[in-house]
Amino acid sequence: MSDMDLMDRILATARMRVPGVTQELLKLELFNTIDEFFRQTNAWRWETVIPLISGTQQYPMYPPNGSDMVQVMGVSYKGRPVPSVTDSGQGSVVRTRGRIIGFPDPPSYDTLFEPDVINSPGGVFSYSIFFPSYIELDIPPSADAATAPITVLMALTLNYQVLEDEANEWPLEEWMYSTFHEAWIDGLQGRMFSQVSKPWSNTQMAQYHMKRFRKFMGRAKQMAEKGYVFNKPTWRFPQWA
Amino acid sequence: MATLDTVSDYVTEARVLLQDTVVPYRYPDADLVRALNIGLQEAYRMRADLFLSALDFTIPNVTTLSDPVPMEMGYRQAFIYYMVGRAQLRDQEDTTDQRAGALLQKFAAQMLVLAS
Repeated sequence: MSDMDLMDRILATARMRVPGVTQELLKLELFNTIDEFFRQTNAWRWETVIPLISGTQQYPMYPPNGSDMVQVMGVSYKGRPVPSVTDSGQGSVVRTRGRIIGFPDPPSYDTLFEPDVINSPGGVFSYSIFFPSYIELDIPPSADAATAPITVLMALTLNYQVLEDEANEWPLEEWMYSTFHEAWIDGLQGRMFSQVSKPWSNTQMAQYHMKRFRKFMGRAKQMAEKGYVFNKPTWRFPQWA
Repeated sequence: MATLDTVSDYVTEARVLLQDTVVPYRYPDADLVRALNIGLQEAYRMRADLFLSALDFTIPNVTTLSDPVPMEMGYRQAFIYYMVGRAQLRDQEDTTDQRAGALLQKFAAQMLVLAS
């Protein structure tokens, strides 16, 4: 069975359940649904190998065509997990590039912002992601360290540019359609029914389907964390708390 | 043609409801084409999604009878009602005013309400 057939199943189901809907709006809201789903659940995971270069700290990360990185789930080097900079306890990470580092004897201020200098006291190196397009190591790898690559595990979502293509050309993997079909249908219906002044506007149905969508997202997030292996769910607050 | 693909299809169908199918016409083609364009703009106000393509909105501006009118299949008929209603607004008779108003309301209802 091809991806086209699987996507057609979603679109055909939505067309029947949301009478009067237009094709382009259906595609846009399906994209929004899938994007929210992957951003909330980290359910689309992708691993890439980045060769290290001696003396180079920054490495660009290229998610697969048509996808965007949501966040890095982990980095490993020679089979061992690499700590992120935030775990090193050296200053506070700020949203822009660099870190705020405590200064023991400040001349006129008590902190110093070093945009290009990152300190790391221990470990081979640690990493940080200041912009989602590249990964930065705190210590430039030596020639010996550069003999092995790092492996980066990312959570992905769809890139908005896929909207230029037909929905059945989006770079989704076949297993996603069967695993997340009900979730995406509910999310799509919820978004459609919640629109204002449309022939298909329906507040009650919107609440019903969005509730189901959120439930599916919670489940998918747990499934992804456990590697799609059946197990006891992790503890969490009940919904009424 | 009932498929309502081109401006000519819309004008022909509107003339049937206007009872204006014999030359010389009471309602010139140019008036009906203008009414169609205004109808498209009115539809954009109520239903921008009808003009959505990827992330752009394109409102067609038709000029000749052979121009295509890109529109979702289920919403084409509504523009006939708008063209006829707008054309009849210029008539003075009281009964025509009511009919024109009803047709313009029918257009809006078809844009916004499922059972219309």
